[in-house]
Amino acid sequence: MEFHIRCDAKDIARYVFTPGSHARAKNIAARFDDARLVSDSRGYLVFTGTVEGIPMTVSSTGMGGPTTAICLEELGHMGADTFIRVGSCGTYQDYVDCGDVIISTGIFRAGGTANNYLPVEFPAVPNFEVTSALVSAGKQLSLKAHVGLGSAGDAFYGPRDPDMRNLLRHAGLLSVEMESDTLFIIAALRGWRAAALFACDGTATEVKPEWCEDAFRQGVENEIRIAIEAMKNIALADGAKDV
Amino acid sequence: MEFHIQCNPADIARYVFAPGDHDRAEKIADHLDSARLVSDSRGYVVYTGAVDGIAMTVSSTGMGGPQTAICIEELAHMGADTFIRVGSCGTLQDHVACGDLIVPTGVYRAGATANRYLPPEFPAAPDFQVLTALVEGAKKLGIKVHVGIGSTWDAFYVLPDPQLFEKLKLAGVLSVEMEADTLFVVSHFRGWRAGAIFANDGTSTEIKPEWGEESFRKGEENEIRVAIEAMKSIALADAEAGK
Repeated sequence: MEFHIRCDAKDIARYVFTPGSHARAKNIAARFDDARLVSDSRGYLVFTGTVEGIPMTVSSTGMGGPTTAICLEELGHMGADTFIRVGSCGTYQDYVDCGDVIISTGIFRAGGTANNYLPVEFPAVPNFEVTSALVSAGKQLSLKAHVGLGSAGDAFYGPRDPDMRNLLRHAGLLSVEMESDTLFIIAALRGWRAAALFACDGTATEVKPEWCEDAFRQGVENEIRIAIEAMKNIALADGAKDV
Repeated sequence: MEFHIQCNPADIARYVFAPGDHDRAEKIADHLDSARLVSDSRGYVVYTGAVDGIAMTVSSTGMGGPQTAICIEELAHMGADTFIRVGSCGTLQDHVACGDLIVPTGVYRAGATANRYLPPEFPAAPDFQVLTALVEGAKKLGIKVHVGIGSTWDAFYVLPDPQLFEKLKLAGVLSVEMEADTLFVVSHFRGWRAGAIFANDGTSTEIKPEWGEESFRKGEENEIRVAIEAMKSIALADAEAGK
Protein backbone atom coordinates (compact mmCIF):
# COMPACT_ATOMS: atom_id res chain seq x y z
CA MET A 1 0.00 0.00 0.00
CA GLU A 2 1.31 3.46 -0.91
CA PHE A 3 1.83 6.13 1.75
CA HIS A 4 -0.86 8.54 0.54
CA ILE A 5 -3.05 7.05 -2.19
CA ARG A 6 -4.67 4.19 -0.30
CA CYS A 7 -5.41 1.43 -2.76
CA ASP A 8 -3.73 -1.48 -4.51
CA ALA A 9 -2.03 -1.85 -7.87
CA LYS A 10 -5.04 -3.71 -9.25
CA ASP A 11 -7.18 -0.61 -8.60
CA ILE A 12 -5.09 1.62 -10.89
CA ALA A 13 -5.10 1.58 -14.71
CA ARG A 14 -2.06 2.44 -16.80
CA TYR A 15 -4.07 5.27 -18.44
CA VAL A 16 -4.62 8.12 -16.00
CA PHE A 17 -6.28 11.54 -16.15
CA THR A 18 -4.87 13.97 -13.61
CA PRO A 19 -6.94 17.11 -13.08
CA GLY A 20 -5.92 19.39 -10.22
CA SER A 21 -9.48 19.75 -8.98
CA HIS A 22 -11.54 17.14 -7.10
CA ALA A 23 -14.75 18.32 -8.74
CA ARG A 24 -13.19 17.82 -12.18
CA ALA A 25 -12.02 14.32 -11.16
CA LYS A 26 -15.65 13.47 -10.34
CA ASN A 27 -16.75 15.05 -13.61
CA ILE A 28 -14.30 12.85 -15.57
CA ALA A 29 -15.25 9.72 -13.60
CA ALA A 30 -18.87 10.36 -14.57
CA ARG A 31 -17.86 9.60 -18.20
CA PHE A 32 -16.44 6.17 -17.27
CA ASP A 33 -18.42 2.96 -17.32
CA ASP A 34 -18.61 1.32 -13.88
CA ALA A 35 -16.52 4.04 -12.21
CA ARG A 36 -15.71 3.21 -8.61
CA LEU A 37 -13.98 5.30 -5.97
CA VAL A 38 -10.73 3.46 -5.18
CA SER A 39 -9.14 5.98 -2.81
CA ASP A 40 -10.06 9.18 -1.00
CA SER A 41 -7.13 10.08 1.18
CA ARG A 42 -4.79 13.05 1.68
CA GLY A 43 -6.82 15.00 -0.86
CA TYR A 44 -6.40 12.53 -3.71
CA LEU A 45 -9.75 11.52 -5.06
CA VAL A 46 -9.18 8.47 -7.27
CA PHE A 47 -11.73 6.68 -9.48
CA THR A 48 -11.19 3.75 -11.83
CA GLY A 49 -13.57 2.60 -14.53
CA THR A 50 -13.51 1.83 -18.24
CA VAL A 51 -14.08 3.63 -21.53
CA GLU A 52 -15.19 1.26 -24.30
CA GLY A 53 -13.78 -1.58 -22.27
CA ILE A 54 -10.38 0.09 -21.66
CA PRO A 55 -9.53 0.51 -17.96
CA MET A 56 -8.84 4.15 -17.07
CA THR A 57 -8.16 5.96 -13.81
CA VAL A 58 -8.71 9.56 -12.81
CA SER A 59 -6.99 11.14 -9.82
CA SER A 60 -7.08 14.69 -8.56
CA THR A 61 -3.52 15.94 -7.95
CA GLY A 62 -4.35 18.93 -5.80
CA MET A 63 -2.67 22.25 -6.53
CA GLY A 64 1.05 22.83 -7.11
CA GLY A 65 4.18 20.75 -7.55
CA PRO A 66 4.66 18.91 -4.23
CA THR A 67 1.24 17.27 -4.05
CA THR A 68 1.28 16.59 -7.81
CA ALA A 69 4.66 14.84 -7.62
CA ILE A 70 3.53 12.51 -4.81
CA CYS A 71 0.35 11.70 -6.70
CA LEU A 72 2.16 10.79 -9.93
CA GLU A 73 4.88 8.78 -8.21
CA GLU A 74 2.41 6.68 -6.26
CA LEU A 75 0.20 6.09 -9.30
CA GLY A 76 3.39 5.14 -11.18
CA HIS A 77 4.29 2.65 -8.45
CA MET A 78 0.89 1.05 -9.01
CA GLY A 79 1.35 0.68 -12.77
CA ALA A 80 0.25 3.97 -14.35
CA ASP A 81 2.48 5.06 -17.24
CA THR A 82 0.37 7.37 -19.39
CA PHE A 83 -0.92 10.65 -17.98
CA ILE A 84 -3.09 13.41 -19.34
CA ARG A 85 -3.48 16.46 -17.14
CA VAL A 86 -6.95 17.92 -17.65
CA GLY A 87 -6.46 21.30 -16.04
CA SER A 88 -7.55 24.89 -15.85
CA CYS A 89 -5.31 27.87 -16.60
CA GLY A 90 -5.08 31.59 -17.05
CA THR A 91 -3.55 33.18 -20.14
CA TYR A 92 -0.91 35.70 -21.23
CA GLN A 93 -2.45 36.39 -24.65
CA ASP A 94 -5.22 38.79 -25.64
CA TYR A 95 -6.45 36.47 -28.37
CA VAL A 96 -7.12 33.59 -25.93
CA ASP A 97 -10.72 33.74 -24.70
CA CYS A 98 -12.33 32.47 -21.54
CA GLY A 99 -13.28 28.86 -22.11
CA ASP A 100 -10.70 28.28 -24.84
CA VAL A 101 -8.82 24.99 -24.68
CA ILE A 102 -5.00 25.03 -24.77
CA ILE A 103 -2.87 21.96 -25.54
CA SER A 104 0.62 22.31 -24.11
CA THR A 105 3.80 21.78 -26.15
CA GLY A 106 6.19 22.91 -23.38
CA ILE A 107 6.29 24.75 -20.07
CA PHE A 108 8.37 27.56 -18.58
CA ARG A 109 9.59 26.10 -15.28
CA ALA A 110 8.64 28.62 -12.60
CA GLY A 111 7.86 25.82 -10.14
CA GLY A 112 10.32 24.36 -7.66
CA THR A 113 9.40 20.70 -7.24
CA ALA A 114 10.69 19.59 -10.65
CA ASN A 115 14.09 21.09 -9.76
CA ASN A 116 14.45 18.34 -7.15
CA TYR A 117 14.35 15.90 -10.09
CA LEU A 118 16.16 17.57 -13.01
CA PRO A 119 17.84 20.99 -13.30
CA VAL A 120 15.97 23.96 -14.82
CA GLU A 121 17.82 23.64 -18.11
CA PHE A 122 15.93 20.40 -18.76
CA PRO A 123 12.98 21.16 -21.07
CA ALA A 124 9.54 20.62 -19.56
CA VAL A 125 7.98 19.19 -22.71
CA PRO A 126 5.17 16.66 -23.12
CA ASN A 127 5.38 13.30 -24.86
CA PHE A 128 4.93 13.74 -28.61
CA GLU A 129 2.62 10.76 -29.13
CA VAL A 130 0.17 11.83 -26.42
CA THR A 131 0.25 15.48 -27.50
CA SER A 132 -0.41 14.50 -31.11
CA ALA A 133 -3.31 12.35 -29.92
CA LEU A 134 -4.78 15.40 -28.14
CA VAL A 135 -4.38 17.63 -31.20
CA SER A 136 -5.92 14.97 -33.46
CA ALA A 137 -8.80 14.36 -31.05
CA GLY A 138 -9.57 18.09 -30.98
CA LYS A 139 -9.77 18.07 -34.77
CA GLN A 140 -11.79 14.86 -34.84
CA LEU A 141 -14.36 16.32 -32.41
CA SER A 142 -14.27 19.72 -34.17
CA LEU A 143 -13.32 21.40 -30.90
CA LYS A 144 -10.95 24.34 -31.30
CA ALA A 145 -7.72 24.19 -29.31
CA HIS A 146 -4.69 26.47 -29.15
CA VAL A 147 -1.40 24.55 -29.33
CA GLY A 148 1.70 26.05 -27.75
CA LEU A 149 3.86 26.87 -24.77
CA GLY A 150 2.82 27.86 -21.27
CA SER A 151 4.23 28.44 -17.80
CA ALA A 152 3.77 26.67 -14.47
CA GLY A 153 4.54 28.30 -11.13
CA ASP A 154 4.16 27.67 -7.42
CA ALA A 155 2.68 30.81 -5.91
CA PHE A 156 -0.84 31.64 -7.08
CA TYR A 157 -0.97 34.74 -4.87
CA GLY A 158 2.73 35.60 -5.00
CA PRO A 159 3.97 38.95 -6.30
CA ARG A 160 4.02 39.21 -10.11
CA ASP A 161 7.08 40.51 -11.92
CA PRO A 162 5.62 42.63 -14.73
CA ASP A 163 8.86 42.60 -16.77
CA MET A 164 9.01 38.81 -16.75
CA ARG A 165 5.32 38.61 -17.59
CA ASN A 166 5.84 40.89 -20.59
CA LEU A 167 8.86 38.91 -21.75
CA LEU A 168 6.96 35.61 -21.60
CA ARG A 169 3.96 37.15 -23.29
CA HIS A 170 6.23 38.43 -26.06
CA ALA A 171 7.68 34.91 -26.43
CA GLY A 172 4.16 33.67 -27.13
CA LEU A 173 3.31 31.79 -23.93
CA LEU A 174 -0.36 30.87 -23.88
CA SER A 175 -1.19 29.34 -20.49
CA VAL A 176 -0.32 29.93 -16.86
CA GLU A 177 -1.03 27.19 -14.31
CA MET A 178 0.68 25.23 -11.51
CA GLU A 179 1.26 21.53 -12.27
CA SER A 180 2.51 20.77 -15.79
CA ASP A 181 6.20 21.45 -15.15
CA THR A 182 6.16 18.77 -12.46
CA LEU A 183 4.20 16.35 -14.64
CA PHE A 184 6.46 16.68 -17.69
CA ILE A 185 9.76 16.54 -15.82
CA ILE A 186 8.91 13.55 -13.62
CA ALA A 187 7.45 11.72 -16.61
CA ALA A 188 10.72 12.23 -18.51
CA LEU A 189 12.80 10.97 -15.61
CA ARG A 190 10.56 7.96 -14.95
CA GLY A 191 10.06 7.06 -18.61
CA TRP A 192 6.29 7.67 -18.62
CA ARG A 193 4.22 9.38 -21.31
CA ALA A 194 2.54 12.62 -20.28
CA ALA A 195 0.69 15.51 -21.88
CA ALA A 196 -1.61 18.29 -20.75
CA LEU A 197 -4.49 20.43 -21.84
CA PHE A 198 -6.22 23.25 -20.03
CA ALA A 199 -9.49 25.16 -20.14
CA CYS A 200 -8.80 28.87 -19.77
CA ASP A 201 -10.72 30.48 -16.90
CA GLY A 202 -9.60 34.07 -17.38
CA THR A 203 -8.26 36.61 -19.84
CA ALA A 204 -4.89 38.30 -20.27
CA THR A 205 -6.06 40.98 -17.83
CA GLU A 206 -8.48 39.21 -15.45
CA VAL A 207 -7.97 36.26 -13.08
CA LYS A 208 -11.03 33.98 -12.96
CA PRO A 209 -13.67 36.69 -13.55
CA GLU A 210 -17.19 35.66 -12.55
CA TRP A 211 -18.65 36.55 -15.96
CA CYS A 212 -16.41 33.87 -17.44
CA GLU A 213 -17.86 30.97 -15.45
CA ASP A 214 -20.25 29.62 -18.12
CA ALA A 215 -17.68 29.77 -20.89
CA PHE A 216 -15.12 28.11 -18.63
CA ARG A 217 -17.52 25.25 -17.78
CA GLN A 218 -18.06 24.68 -21.49
CA GLY A 219 -14.28 24.67 -21.94
CA VAL A 220 -13.90 22.03 -19.23
CA GLU A 221 -16.56 19.92 -20.93
CA ASN A 222 -14.62 20.26 -24.21
CA GLU A 223 -11.23 19.41 -22.75
CA ILE A 224 -12.62 16.32 -21.02
CA ARG A 225 -14.07 15.07 -24.31
CA ILE A 226 -10.76 15.69 -26.10
CA ALA A 227 -8.74 14.00 -23.35
CA ILE A 228 -10.92 10.88 -23.27
CA GLU A 229 -10.92 10.56 -27.07
CA ALA A 230 -7.12 10.95 -27.13
CA MET A 231 -6.57 8.39 -24.36
CA LYS A 232 -8.81 5.92 -26.18
CA ASN A 233 -6.76 6.34 -29.35
CA ILE A 234 -3.49 5.89 -27.47
CA ALA A 235 -4.79 2.71 -25.84
CA LEU A 236 -5.92 1.40 -29.22
CA ALA A 237 -2.50 2.18 -30.73
CA ASP A 238 -0.83 0.45 -27.75
CA GLY A 239 -3.06 -2.56 -28.33
CA ALA A 240 -2.03 -2.62 -31.98
CA LYS A 241 1.63 -2.44 -30.91
CA ASP A 242 0.89 -5.08 -28.27
CA VAL A 243 2.74 -3.26 -25.46
CA MET B 1 22.72 44.73 -46.36
CA GLU B 2 23.20 42.69 -43.17
CA PHE B 3 26.46 42.82 -41.22
CA HIS B 4 27.54 39.23 -41.84
CA ILE B 5 25.36 37.46 -44.42
CA GLN B 6 26.02 39.53 -47.49
CA CYS B 7 22.95 39.43 -49.68
CA ASN B 8 19.49 40.99 -50.04
CA PRO B 9 15.96 40.01 -48.96
CA ALA B 10 15.27 39.09 -52.59
CA ASP B 11 17.87 36.32 -52.19
CA ILE B 12 16.37 34.70 -49.06
CA ALA B 13 13.26 32.47 -48.91
CA ARG B 14 10.98 32.25 -45.88
CA TYR B 15 11.69 28.49 -45.67
CA VAL B 16 15.24 27.87 -44.48
CA PHE B 17 17.33 24.77 -43.77
CA ALA B 18 20.03 25.51 -41.21
CA PRO B 19 22.72 22.81 -40.95
CA GLY B 20 25.84 23.54 -38.93
CA ASP B 21 28.20 22.19 -41.56
CA HIS B 22 29.12 23.98 -44.82
CA ASP B 23 29.45 20.69 -46.68
CA ARG B 24 25.95 19.66 -45.60
CA ALA B 25 24.62 23.04 -46.79
CA GLU B 26 26.03 22.21 -50.22
CA LYS B 27 24.49 18.72 -50.12
CA ILE B 28 21.09 20.19 -49.28
CA ALA B 29 21.50 22.76 -52.07
CA ASP B 30 22.08 19.83 -54.45
CA HIS B 31 18.49 18.75 -53.70
CA LEU B 32 17.09 22.18 -54.65
CA ASP B 33 16.20 23.15 -58.24
CA SER B 34 18.26 26.00 -59.70
CA ALA B 35 20.21 26.50 -56.46
CA ARG B 36 22.50 29.52 -56.52
CA LEU B 37 25.07 30.68 -54.01
CA VAL B 38 23.75 33.98 -52.62
CA SER B 39 26.36 34.62 -49.92
CA ASP B 40 29.65 33.19 -48.73
CA SER B 41 30.86 35.44 -45.96
CA ARG B 42 31.94 35.08 -42.30
CA GLY B 43 31.56 31.32 -42.63
CA TYR B 44 27.92 31.41 -43.70
CA VAL B 45 27.46 29.58 -46.98
CA VAL B 46 23.99 30.44 -48.25
CA TYR B 47 22.15 28.96 -51.24
CA THR B 48 18.64 29.65 -52.50
CA GLY B 49 16.69 27.49 -54.93
CA ALA B 50 13.31 25.79 -55.14
CA VAL B 51 11.56 22.50 -54.39
CA ASP B 52 8.47 21.81 -56.51
CA GLY B 53 8.41 25.51 -57.30
CA ILE B 54 8.57 26.57 -53.62
CA ALA B 55 11.50 28.91 -52.88
CA MET B 56 13.81 27.54 -50.19
CA THR B 57 17.11 28.70 -48.70
CA VAL B 58 19.86 26.75 -46.99
CA SER B 59 22.49 28.38 -44.79
CA SER B 60 25.25 26.85 -42.73
CA THR B 61 25.13 28.22 -39.18
CA GLY B 62 28.61 27.15 -38.14
CA MET B 63 29.07 25.52 -34.73
CA GLY B 64 27.66 26.76 -31.43
CA GLY B 65 25.20 29.33 -30.17
CA PRO B 66 26.76 32.71 -30.95
CA GLN B 67 27.14 32.31 -34.70
CA THR B 68 23.88 30.34 -34.98
CA ALA B 69 22.02 33.25 -33.38
CA ILE B 70 23.59 35.80 -35.74
CA CYS B 71 22.78 33.58 -38.72
CA ILE B 72 19.08 33.13 -37.99
CA GLU B 73 18.57 36.75 -36.91
CA GLU B 74 20.04 38.06 -40.18
CA LEU B 75 18.11 35.53 -42.27
CA ALA B 76 14.92 36.64 -40.53
CA HIS B 77 15.73 40.31 -41.18
CA MET B 78 15.62 39.24 -44.82
CA GLY B 79 12.25 37.48 -44.51
CA ALA B 80 12.93 33.94 -43.24
CA ASP B 81 10.40 32.71 -40.67
CA THR B 82 10.51 28.91 -40.82
CA PHE B 83 13.68 27.00 -39.94
CA ILE B 84 14.66 23.35 -39.92
CA ARG B 85 18.06 22.55 -38.47
CA VAL B 86 19.50 19.57 -40.36
CA GLY B 87 22.28 18.59 -38.01
CA SER B 88 24.56 15.89 -36.72
CA CYS B 89 24.65 14.71 -33.12
CA GLY B 90 26.04 12.20 -30.68
CA THR B 91 23.84 10.13 -28.40
CA LEU B 92 23.48 9.20 -24.74
CA GLN B 93 21.38 6.09 -25.39
CA ASP B 94 22.59 2.57 -26.08
CA HIS B 95 19.60 1.87 -28.30
CA VAL B 96 20.49 4.68 -30.75
CA ALA B 97 22.79 3.41 -33.52
CA CYS B 98 25.22 5.26 -35.75
CA GLY B 99 23.30 6.79 -38.66
CA ASP B 100 19.97 6.81 -36.78
CA LEU B 101 17.86 9.95 -37.04
CA ILE B 102 16.57 11.92 -34.06
CA VAL B 103 13.78 14.51 -34.08
CA PRO B 104 13.93 16.52 -30.83
CA THR B 105 10.76 17.44 -28.92
CA GLY B 106 12.83 19.73 -26.68
CA VAL B 107 16.46 20.17 -25.67
CA TYR B 108 18.33 20.49 -22.39
CA ARG B 109 19.80 24.00 -22.37
CA ALA B 110 23.50 23.66 -21.59
CA GLY B 111 24.33 26.43 -24.08
CA ALA B 112 24.58 30.06 -22.99
CA THR B 113 23.58 32.13 -26.03
CA ALA B 114 19.86 31.43 -25.62
CA ASN B 115 20.06 32.73 -22.03
CA ARG B 116 20.63 36.21 -23.46
CA TYR B 117 17.13 35.93 -24.96
CA LEU B 118 15.08 34.00 -22.38
CA PRO B 119 16.01 32.44 -19.01
CA PRO B 120 16.84 28.72 -18.73
CA GLU B 121 13.41 27.93 -17.25
CA PHE B 122 11.99 28.61 -20.72
CA PRO B 123 11.50 25.31 -22.58
CA ALA B 124 13.74 24.94 -25.63
CA ALA B 125 11.01 23.26 -27.65
CA PRO B 126 10.43 23.19 -31.39
CA ASP B 127 7.32 24.58 -33.04
CA PHE B 128 4.69 21.83 -32.91
CA GLN B 129 3.68 22.20 -36.56
CA VAL B 130 7.28 21.80 -37.75
CA LEU B 131 7.88 18.93 -35.31
CA THR B 132 4.79 17.14 -36.57
CA ALA B 133 5.77 17.76 -40.21
CA LEU B 134 9.18 16.15 -39.59
CA VAL B 135 7.68 13.07 -37.91
CA GLU B 136 5.04 12.74 -40.65
CA GLY B 137 7.63 13.35 -43.39
CA ALA B 138 9.75 10.49 -42.07
CA LYS B 139 6.72 8.20 -41.86
CA LYS B 140 5.76 9.03 -45.43
CA LEU B 141 9.26 8.24 -46.71
CA GLY B 142 9.47 5.06 -44.62
CA ILE B 143 12.51 6.40 -42.73
CA LYS B 144 12.81 5.52 -39.03
CA VAL B 145 13.29 8.40 -36.57
CA HIS B 146 13.63 8.53 -32.79
CA VAL B 147 11.36 11.25 -31.35
CA GLY B 148 12.28 12.65 -27.95
CA ILE B 149 14.30 15.01 -25.81
CA GLY B 150 17.85 16.10 -26.68
CA SER B 151 20.60 18.24 -25.19
CA THR B 152 22.63 21.16 -26.50
CA TRP B 153 26.07 22.24 -25.26
CA ASP B 154 28.67 24.93 -25.94
CA ALA B 155 31.98 23.16 -25.31
CA PHE B 156 32.62 20.18 -27.59
CA TYR B 157 35.90 19.18 -25.91
CA VAL B 158 34.94 19.61 -22.27
CA LEU B 159 33.86 16.39 -20.60
CA PRO B 160 30.56 17.05 -18.86
CA ASP B 161 29.92 16.13 -15.27
CA PRO B 162 29.44 12.32 -15.43
CA GLN B 163 26.68 12.44 -12.82
CA LEU B 164 24.70 14.93 -14.89
CA PHE B 165 25.23 12.81 -18.02
CA GLU B 166 23.94 9.75 -16.15
CA LYS B 167 20.89 11.67 -15.02
CA LEU B 168 20.15 12.92 -18.51
CA LYS B 169 20.59 9.41 -19.88
CA LEU B 170 18.13 8.10 -17.28
CA ALA B 171 15.72 10.86 -18.28
CA GLY B 172 15.81 9.51 -21.84
CA VAL B 173 17.87 12.26 -23.48
CA LEU B 174 18.66 11.03 -26.98
CA SER B 175 20.94 13.56 -28.66
CA VAL B 176 23.97 15.71 -27.89
CA GLU B 177 24.72 18.63 -30.21
CA MET B 178 25.45 22.36 -30.17
CA GLU B 179 22.83 24.53 -31.88
CA ALA B 180 19.21 23.47 -31.26
CA ASP B 181 18.77 25.34 -27.94
CA THR B 182 19.64 28.63 -29.64
CA LEU B 183 17.42 27.91 -32.63
CA PHE B 184 14.36 26.97 -30.55
CA VAL B 185 14.61 29.72 -27.95
CA VAL B 186 15.39 32.57 -30.37
CA SER B 187 12.55 31.36 -32.59
CA HIS B 188 10.03 31.53 -29.75
CA PHE B 189 11.32 34.96 -28.79
CA ARG B 190 10.95 36.24 -32.37
CA GLY B 191 7.75 34.40 -33.23
CA TRP B 192 9.29 32.17 -35.93
CA ARG B 193 8.67 28.44 -36.45
CA ALA B 194 11.59 26.08 -35.96
CA GLY B 195 12.25 22.36 -35.79
CA ALA B 196 15.29 20.11 -36.00
CA ILE B 197 16.45 16.71 -37.12
CA PHE B 198 19.85 15.13 -36.45
CA ALA B 199 21.80 12.23 -37.90
CA ASN B 200 23.71 10.46 -35.16
CA ASP B 201 27.43 10.10 -35.87
CA GLY B 202 28.44 8.10 -32.78
CA THR B 203 27.28 5.73 -30.09
CA SER B 204 26.68 6.17 -26.36
CA THR B 205 30.35 5.22 -25.81
CA GLU B 206 32.18 6.53 -28.91
CA ILE B 207 32.47 10.02 -30.40
CA LYS B 208 32.44 10.03 -34.21
CA PRO B 209 34.13 6.59 -34.66
CA GLU B 210 35.63 6.07 -38.13
CA TRP B 211 33.73 2.81 -38.61
CA GLY B 212 30.49 4.80 -38.22
CA GLU B 213 31.23 7.13 -41.15
CA GLU B 214 29.33 5.20 -43.80
CA SER B 215 26.13 4.76 -41.79
CA PHE B 216 26.34 8.39 -40.65
CA ARG B 217 26.51 9.55 -44.28
CA LYS B 218 23.48 7.40 -45.09
CA GLY B 219 21.70 9.00 -42.11
CA GLU B 220 22.69 12.45 -43.36
CA GLU B 221 21.16 11.73 -46.76
CA ASN B 222 17.99 10.46 -45.04
CA GLU B 223 17.62 13.48 -42.77
CA ILE B 224 17.94 15.81 -45.75
CA ARG B 225 15.14 13.94 -47.52
CA VAL B 226 12.93 14.06 -44.39
CA ALA B 227 13.62 17.78 -43.86
CA ILE B 228 12.76 18.65 -47.47
CA GLU B 229 9.58 16.56 -47.35
CA ALA B 230 8.57 18.29 -44.09
CA MET B 231 9.30 21.79 -45.42
CA LYS B 232 7.27 21.08 -48.55
CA SER B 233 4.26 20.02 -46.47
CA ILE B 234 4.56 23.12 -44.27
CA ALA B 235 4.70 25.37 -47.34
CA LEU B 236 1.65 23.64 -48.85
CA ALA B 237 -0.26 24.02 -45.55
CA ASP B 238 0.72 27.72 -45.47
CA ALA B 239 -0.56 28.18 -49.03
CA GLU B 240 -3.83 26.44 -48.15
CA ALA B 241 -4.27 28.60 -45.05
CA GLY B 242 -3.42 31.70 -47.07
CA LYS B 243 -0.47 32.45 -44.77
